[in-house]
Amino acid sequence: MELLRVDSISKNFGGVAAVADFSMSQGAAEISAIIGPNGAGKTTTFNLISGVQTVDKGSLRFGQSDITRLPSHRIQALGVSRTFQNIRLFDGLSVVDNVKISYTPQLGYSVLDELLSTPRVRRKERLIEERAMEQLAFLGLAEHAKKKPKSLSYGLRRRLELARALMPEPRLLLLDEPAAGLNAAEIRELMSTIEHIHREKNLSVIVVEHHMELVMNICTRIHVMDFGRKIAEGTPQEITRNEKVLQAYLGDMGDV
Amino acid sequence: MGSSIFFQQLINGVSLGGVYAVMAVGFGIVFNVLKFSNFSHGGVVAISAYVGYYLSRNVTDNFWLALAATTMIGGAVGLLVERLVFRPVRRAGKPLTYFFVNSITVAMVVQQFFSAMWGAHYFAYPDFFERTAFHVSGLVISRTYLLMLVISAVVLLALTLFLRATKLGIAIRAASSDIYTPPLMGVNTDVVTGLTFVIAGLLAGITGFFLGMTYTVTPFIGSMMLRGIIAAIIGGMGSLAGGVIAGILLGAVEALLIAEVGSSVTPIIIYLGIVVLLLVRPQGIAGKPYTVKA
Amino acid sequence: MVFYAKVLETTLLFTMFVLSVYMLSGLTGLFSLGHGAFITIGAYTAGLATTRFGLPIWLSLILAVVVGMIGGLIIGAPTLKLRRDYFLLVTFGFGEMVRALLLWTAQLTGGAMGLAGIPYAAELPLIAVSTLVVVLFVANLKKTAFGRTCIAIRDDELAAQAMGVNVYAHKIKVFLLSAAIASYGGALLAFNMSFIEPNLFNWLESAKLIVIIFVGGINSVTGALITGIFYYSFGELFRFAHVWRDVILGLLVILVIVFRAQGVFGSWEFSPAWIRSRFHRRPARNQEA
Repeated sequence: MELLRVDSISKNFGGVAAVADFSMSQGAAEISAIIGPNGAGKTTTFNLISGVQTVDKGSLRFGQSDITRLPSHRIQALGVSRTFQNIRLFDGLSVVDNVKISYTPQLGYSVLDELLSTPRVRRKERLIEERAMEQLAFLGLAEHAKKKPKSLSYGLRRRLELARALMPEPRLLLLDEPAAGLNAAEIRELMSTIEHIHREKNLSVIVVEHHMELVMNICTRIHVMDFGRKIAEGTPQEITRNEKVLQAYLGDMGDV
Repeated sequence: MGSSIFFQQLINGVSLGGVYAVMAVGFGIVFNVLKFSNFSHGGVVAISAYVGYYLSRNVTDNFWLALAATTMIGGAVGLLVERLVFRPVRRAGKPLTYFFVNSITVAMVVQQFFSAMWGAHYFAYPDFFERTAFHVSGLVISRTYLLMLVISAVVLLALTLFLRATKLGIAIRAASSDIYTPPLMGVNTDVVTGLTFVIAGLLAGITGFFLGMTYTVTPFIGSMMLRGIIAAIIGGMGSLAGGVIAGILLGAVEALLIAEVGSSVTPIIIYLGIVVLLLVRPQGIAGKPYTVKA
Repeated sequence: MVFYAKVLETTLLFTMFVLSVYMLSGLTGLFSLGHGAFITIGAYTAGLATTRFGLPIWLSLILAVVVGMIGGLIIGAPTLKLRRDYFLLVTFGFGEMVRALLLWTAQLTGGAMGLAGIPYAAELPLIAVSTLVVVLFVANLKKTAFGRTCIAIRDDELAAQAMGVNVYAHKIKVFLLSAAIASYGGALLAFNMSFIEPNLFNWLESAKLIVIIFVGGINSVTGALITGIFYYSFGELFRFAHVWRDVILGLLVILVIVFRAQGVFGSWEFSPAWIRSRFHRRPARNQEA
């Protein structure tokens, strides 16, 4: 079943096409990847899907809804959650409060309730605390709940972003370079975590990633971008044999 | 309003607008490089106004000497403020908020210091010239106003040349797009920010002297900075050229409005105009829309 | 004795203003250099309602809050969508405009001569209870989703929005609430002083409110409270040092920001939880400072 439909979207920045005529389709329980050299437009594509930026042309459909012009908080409410390439946690909040943020709209109590600290607020606060702690425990962060994100190691902060993205129980998870800055052991751990999440929560995942081992091992479908355009799409086996990809991308990687 | 009064007001307004333009650029150049609203600029303007008064009353009655000395001192104060107040914050990599809070603190300390020292006194600059006005076909052109306009124009032109043609100037412009990543043409970040504040300080020196000359010097003279800020908003934050155009425009519109509807309603009309402008064209007359990076 | 009661009244009123700015600037990272305008609006609405239109005190207080919030909406709606500097700069202009408006409407408001003869209706008990309620309100908000959302917006607006926060709507809520508290406090101020004038609150007074919060620490309501009480009572008790105290405050702020950016009180809160932790030492170890 199709969950996300990206229909020839384009985005320009000051005359430069960051994304041009990009299309993709994502199934409801699929893990796919968008790969490509630096500056190929992968992160911009994520920004467009999650509504952080709006498309110049084209359309986006998530489930039954047209999300092309929606602001990012509305898209999140429909079930799209994401992480950021350059970790963006709320440094002023504790680890557990960081996780709670992404569940706020679902709490459903008013400012008036909060001013008066009514029993309803206290009940809901207990509930959200439990949920957030479960989420942290799920990703092995429970012991750090009261700390500030800045005091965590880089790998743990990446995991905290993942916890925050999972908190609202999304249907689609966008992971922007989840392996960046992690060591080999941490990457292996991340891979099993993603697969575990995918099985356990039965959700759809798109990763933007440079780390080929991760992409080839966990993804069933790969979209390759270069200069904002899609140059290939297929299973990992098809992509490794694709001439265009080898030229534009893998050859490029060989030099690095 | 008769046409001669109209032109009279227009000329005065444009001259004062030149000063607003200088103020807008002084405010804008720091905003461009460090991305915060630098209220300490008003503090440096106020210090310069007092310094200019002191120099012209006690040291020299030569307009040019007094102006040049005040400008230099303004630049030095700008650098001092950067060193003492902003550099430590920048070195520690703290959020922009702290730059801003420090900047309003500086403005506050300056104003309250002058209030405590000479709060009850009003100081007026001497008349530098024997002949204070020219008469051109029925119009009276004040000599100081004419000088203000010409000097503002020359200064802004010189600044443009500096920013476009010199290595340091180009480094400042490069810093405007991103101070932390590019190598800034081989110039180090400390030098670039220091220089930015010196330039802002020099401009504040000129502004302070002109404002002191036009009005009387009081502890609240730094609040005149609101005009420069309004010009910067209308021009589009981040666009120095826009700030200049908007400054002159603001001076002219203000002078004409004062003549037409009176000085008490004028600020209200101008202010409402800005709210409307922000609603229809938030990027100002020359700015680019603000985009975020993820 | 009367003198000390007066000092206490003034201090409490100003503490209320500090708290209104705490929500806006401390928690949400939005700076209003025209916050004094809301205090002025509240004061004048209340003053005019009673002296010119003969409305009862309680109705005047409500009216003051409503007018203050309308003012907040006019300023907030166009600017809170844009980057924060616009909000700051436009509020700065708003403060000046309100003053110009009062001078212009001198027939009604008394203009530069001020507005006299406002009934003396806000005595210590009313002011004390009001301040206490505001303290509890702000403390409650900080603890729950509202406060968490504020801090998230302060730290990273884009990420907050991507995590489902309607940033614009939340900013409007915060600003209106803050304007409401400020104008309510302003109305009490008018009923306490019986005489008000357009220069009651210039940009400097608004700036002081912000600066006080940074001395106390943006993550501590307690810090804002203590610093506010200390600063304003000091100024009232030692009138001769009235102007110099601002110079001292300013230098203190710069020292705090350079050497202890989290403020004097950090994220410490005086709360039932903290008191309990004093008695059972064990959990205090795990608490983050």
